Amino acid sequence: MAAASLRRRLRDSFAATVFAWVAAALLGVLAVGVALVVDAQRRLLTEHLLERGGTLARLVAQGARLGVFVEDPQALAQAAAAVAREPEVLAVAVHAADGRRLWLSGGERGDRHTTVPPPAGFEDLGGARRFWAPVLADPDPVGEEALYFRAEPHPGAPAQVIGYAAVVLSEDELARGLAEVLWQSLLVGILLLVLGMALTYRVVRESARPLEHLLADLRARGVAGEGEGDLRGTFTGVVQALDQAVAEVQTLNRELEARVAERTAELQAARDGLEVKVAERTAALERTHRQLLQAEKLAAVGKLSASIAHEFNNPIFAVRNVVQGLGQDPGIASENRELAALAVGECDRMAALIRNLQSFNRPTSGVVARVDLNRAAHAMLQLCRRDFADRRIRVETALAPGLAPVWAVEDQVKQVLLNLLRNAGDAMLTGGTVRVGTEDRGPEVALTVADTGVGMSPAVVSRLFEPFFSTKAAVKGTGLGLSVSYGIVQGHGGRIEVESQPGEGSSFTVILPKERREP
Amino acid sequence: MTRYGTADAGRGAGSGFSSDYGGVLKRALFLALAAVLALTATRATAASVVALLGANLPPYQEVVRRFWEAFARPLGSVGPKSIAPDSLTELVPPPSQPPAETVRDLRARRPDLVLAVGRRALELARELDSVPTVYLLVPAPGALAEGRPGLAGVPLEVPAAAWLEALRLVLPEAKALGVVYDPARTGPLVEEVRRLASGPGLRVVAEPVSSSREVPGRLGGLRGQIDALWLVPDPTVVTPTTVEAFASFSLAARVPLFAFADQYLGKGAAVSVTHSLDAMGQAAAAVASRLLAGDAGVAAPALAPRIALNRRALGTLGIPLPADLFRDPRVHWLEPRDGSR
Repeated sequence: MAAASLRRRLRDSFAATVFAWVAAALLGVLAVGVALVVDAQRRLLTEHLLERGGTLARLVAQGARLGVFVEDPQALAQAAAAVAREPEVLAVAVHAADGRRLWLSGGERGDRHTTVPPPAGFEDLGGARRFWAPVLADPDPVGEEALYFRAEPHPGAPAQVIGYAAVVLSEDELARGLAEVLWQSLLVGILLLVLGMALTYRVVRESARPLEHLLADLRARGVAGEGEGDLRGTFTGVVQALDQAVAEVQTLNRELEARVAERTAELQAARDGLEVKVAERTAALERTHRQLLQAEKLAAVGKLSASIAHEFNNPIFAVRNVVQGLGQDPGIASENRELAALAVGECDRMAALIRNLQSFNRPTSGVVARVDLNRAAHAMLQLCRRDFADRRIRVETALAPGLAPVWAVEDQVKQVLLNLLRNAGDAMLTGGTVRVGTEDRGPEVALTVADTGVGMSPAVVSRLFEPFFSTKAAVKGTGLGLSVSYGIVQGHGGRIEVESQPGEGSSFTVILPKERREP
Repeated sequence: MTRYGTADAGRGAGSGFSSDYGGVLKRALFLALAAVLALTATRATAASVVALLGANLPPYQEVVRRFWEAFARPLGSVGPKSIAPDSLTELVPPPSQPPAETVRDLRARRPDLVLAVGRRALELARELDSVPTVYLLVPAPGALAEGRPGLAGVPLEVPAAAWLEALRLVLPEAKALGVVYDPARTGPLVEEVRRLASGPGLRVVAEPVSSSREVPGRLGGLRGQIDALWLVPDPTVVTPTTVEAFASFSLAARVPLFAFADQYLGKGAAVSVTHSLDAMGQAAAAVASRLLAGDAGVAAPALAPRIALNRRALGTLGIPLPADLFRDPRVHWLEPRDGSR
């Protein structure tokens, strides 16, 4: 079971597979290399043996020339002694040219009667080799002149063979050399194999590490299971996961396209709504433009009224003086006197009306001074009294006595107060009550104008101080009154508070500081 | 090839062994004789000389050159010589050429003189009966040099006295000279040396042989008995193998080997006693002039020996040499490389 598991693990392991293949290749290369080295060394040692054997035989033959010439065994022994003492030399023999043995050393293997040595120069004796070399002598000189003068060798003149030398060499040295080479080669080969396998293991391990990390990462992502050691199976799972991911991406793509289409439709609708709003705003601007034209007309009318009032003032003073003189005439009847007094009173009221009208139309002085809000409220009520009376509007005042004056531009404060009174009157088309009151609130002074008119919705209240916002008909209101008033009060460091209930009326409270403040 | 020194002055044909003083005297006499011969042997006409070489060997060519240097004369102011100089033609017949063809060729050239160099050349030149012939470098010419008029030559072998002179020069204290010889060939020479040596107290230990195979054994018999070993120009004794035996004996017995040719200096000999090529060439020129002058009975002049020493061999043997040997003008110190001659 364990062996089968190990085999499967080895088969499935990338590193083990690579390692096994490389090890097998190294083993093959090692075997071939050892075989080649041993073969080369065998040939080298054989050549060395042949060369040494030939050299020793030639050495004996050369040294034995004189001994062979005179067939002296002692001279031959002397000539061959050095060679015979060589450790690998088994036997040395010297023969005459006719094959007779002249000298022998080392045993019968060196003895061989022959006059024709083997062409190769050696014989294989099984574990030993016998090498032959001819004993040569220079040819005898031709003519007595050769005794005196060395002539050039005659072309083709062979050296004279006067004998043969044989040297028997043991092949033990060759066998020992081959065995030594074989063992050394095997030892070096095994060392190289171990080193190569260690290097292979190292290289395979290092190269497989990124793959193992990838595999672990894939397992962690659930692409490959814990039991899937097979890299091929793992990558099949990766491919399947990629296919699935691609399919999901395609689905998400389709959903995204649908969502984009939906958002596009929404944007189109928003654009349409925006165009409607732009049309509405354009209409409002046009309306505002018309109201602005109306305001300019009203301003022109105001200037004209002020001019007419100024022209009326002098005649009225003249009429009043005349009527007052008539009323002081002792000869006038008492009834006429009362009528004269009544006429003087009306002239005074007309004069006051004219002054208020001039005062309102007069450009603001910009001079900050102490202003008594009670007097200002009284003057503005005088200006609106007749209008309120025509509309059956009753005026109630609750002015605080001894109210401290405020630092303000008087005509601007009066303009604010007149706007509030006119708005209150406009809010009570069928009559009602206007309540004007003042109140000391410590550092501030409050002036309240309340009506019992139609009231305002919260939406109207939220836009009440916007320029050109008006609930009145275009020919009646400009939409600038409260906006201008708000600006004036804010410029004096104060504020306007509004309370309103639709159908119950509205209350505007102007709160100004007593002390002078920079806006 | 061993380089040689300048040509030696000739030495008179001494009749026996003499002291150093006697050697100088002979030399002076030889020079005087050579001068007289050269001056008296005048020729009236230009000579056409054919140098017939038995082989194409450097010593043969060298001796011909030496001969011609001494023989050829500048143009004369009167007479036929003034318009026809001496001429020299060298012939080296191939070994395969039949002798008769060579002889025909020689006759066709109608030479005034034939210079035969080597035994083969002498054998061919003898066929021209009426043409004066001078031979050179012919060892033991024997009968070849006799029985023909107009034939003369310069001997190659040094005389017996020259051997003893060289021995006394190199080894003044020598008491015994060993030699292996074939009585049939060099017996007279050995006997002549033995005779000359008996006077100055020198003993010649001679071992006769009849075959070269006997030489090593006979050499063994000389061990411990001799102070010097003499290599005689004997074909029975001297073979390539026996020369090794002589050299081995010389080295083993610590006795110098006296050889008859310079080529043995390169094979272990310590001393060589020869006639120089220059001297032989000059002597041949003198003989040729006399032959052309009509002196048919001219004898071969005696030449002074040339003594060459192998410095290396003598150093190896460790033989003490006389101090005046290094200053002796007859001695040539050689460092043989190949023993070319």
